[in-house]
Amino acid sequence: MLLTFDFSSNTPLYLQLRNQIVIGIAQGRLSPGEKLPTVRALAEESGVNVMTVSKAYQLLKQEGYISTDRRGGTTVCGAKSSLPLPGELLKALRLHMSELRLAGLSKAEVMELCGKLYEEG
Amino acid sequence: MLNIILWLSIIWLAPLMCFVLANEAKFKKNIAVGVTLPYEGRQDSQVLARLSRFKKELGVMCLFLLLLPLPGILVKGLAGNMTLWFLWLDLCVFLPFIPYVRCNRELKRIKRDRGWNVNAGQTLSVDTAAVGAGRWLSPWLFLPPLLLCLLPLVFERSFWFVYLMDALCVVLFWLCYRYLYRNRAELVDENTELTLALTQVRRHNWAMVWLISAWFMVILNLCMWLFREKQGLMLLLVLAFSFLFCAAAIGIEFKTRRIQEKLTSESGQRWYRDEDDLWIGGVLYYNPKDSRLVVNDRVGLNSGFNLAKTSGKVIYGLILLLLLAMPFTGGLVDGIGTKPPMLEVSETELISSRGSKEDVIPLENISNVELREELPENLSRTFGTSLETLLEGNFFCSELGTLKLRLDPTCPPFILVKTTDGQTWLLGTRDEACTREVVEKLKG
Repeated sequence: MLLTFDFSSNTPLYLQLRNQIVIGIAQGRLSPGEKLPTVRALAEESGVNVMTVSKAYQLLKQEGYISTDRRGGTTVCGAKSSLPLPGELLKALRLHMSELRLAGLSKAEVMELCGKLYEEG
Repeated sequence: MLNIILWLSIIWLAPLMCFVLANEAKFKKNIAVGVTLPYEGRQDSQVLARLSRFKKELGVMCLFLLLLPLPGILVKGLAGNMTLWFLWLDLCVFLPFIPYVRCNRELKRIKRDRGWNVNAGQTLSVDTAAVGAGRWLSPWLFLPPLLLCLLPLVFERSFWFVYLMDALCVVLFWLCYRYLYRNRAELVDENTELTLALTQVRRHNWAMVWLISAWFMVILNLCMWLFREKQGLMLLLVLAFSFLFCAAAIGIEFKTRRIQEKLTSESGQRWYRDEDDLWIGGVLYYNPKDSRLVVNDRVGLNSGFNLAKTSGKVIYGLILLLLLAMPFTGGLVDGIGTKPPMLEVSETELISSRGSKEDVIPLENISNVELREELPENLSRTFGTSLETLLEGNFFCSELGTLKLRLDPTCPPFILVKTTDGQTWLLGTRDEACTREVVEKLKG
């Protein structure tokens, strides 16, 4: 899977990494059980600080998207089955819905857009 | 004659430099002259015309650099020649980059005008499937050349300094192999197999260059050891092997470039990596967000440094300083040559000096004194200074073995002094009468 770090973006690098891995899992570009590079190797490859990569991996591990094992390294866990949705996610979703409504989109248009994005992953 | 040999030894650098840069006009990894272009850019008439003009400009530059040394051949004296020699070397390093940077700028403008900045910006891409691919060569592979470099020390010690330096070079080559390479995948587009193949090609050839360098030091050492009494033959062999080594290193660089060109000939049709904004003029890497110092050149085998890091600035600053200081070496050599070697005999000691350097030989230790009108044949330096008007330091010749010199070879006679502790000295001054007087005092 291709990861792109945008150094001119306002989004912190660890969050860029975390978001891309989440999207990659959702889109099926990263399949469950697939190995991810080690923190050190990914840091070496991208030039991003080891701590930044480590922070992203920690976050992904906390969220249950990846698991780490001393022998097996870091592997993708796949889709999370834990429900209900985390409060932070619901908050963000509510905010985005409000923004779409204020942008003048109807409920049908929002649903269509959401459906399209959901299909894409 | 010396002037012509001096110039012939470096004149090939101008066509080589221009040839290497002209090779950048061929698309490798979607990059030409440091600018990443999509597949359609390779057929764009404006791009092709600019690349063609770039090659012509380099041709003119090459011709200019080749003609520049002609007046230098008429200059006499080592110091003056060295100044011109190094000045030309500096021009040879910097001037060909003028057409390169100009072409890079114009190609970037064409890229903007055509709307090819698809994924431009300060972005850096990574293929997770290709991260950490490949393994380092075992350091044990550098052990045989290291041991072979040290082997002559077992049999003779006259050139110990050279043998030791060559052995240290082998260690240095391993360090360069291991630490001057950024372990980064050669990502070009979404094709992971292509990325892995390109990475493997680079890693393999990088290892080859340093291993060949290590074995080259072995050959140098063996030549020095086995032919130390046949200086002419030794020099000829060293020159021949140096030429072969340079040819091999350049060959590996161009082989890598050819493979990169061939493997990526169809790339750039969909997504492709574009990191142009991280490279100043297509030459210098500048990325403050990259925590690493070493960076691989985008094309070929070489490595560079991240100019955004303080250590990168210091390294490039030192290289620049070194290049700019080179022409002053001529003056330095001249300064060394002007200080005359002196001899003085006191009640108890023979003192040989030049400037602040001084050697004292107690008279009671002197076992034999001889006046020589000529220098011994096949005199070769092992550690010290060898100029037109000064020979100083440790030397070797088949007749006398290891000996220490401080004399002006253009001002005979010379005094051969042997001491009871087995040392041999060949000393002299620029004043013939003074030298003869010293011999008489020593014999008296």
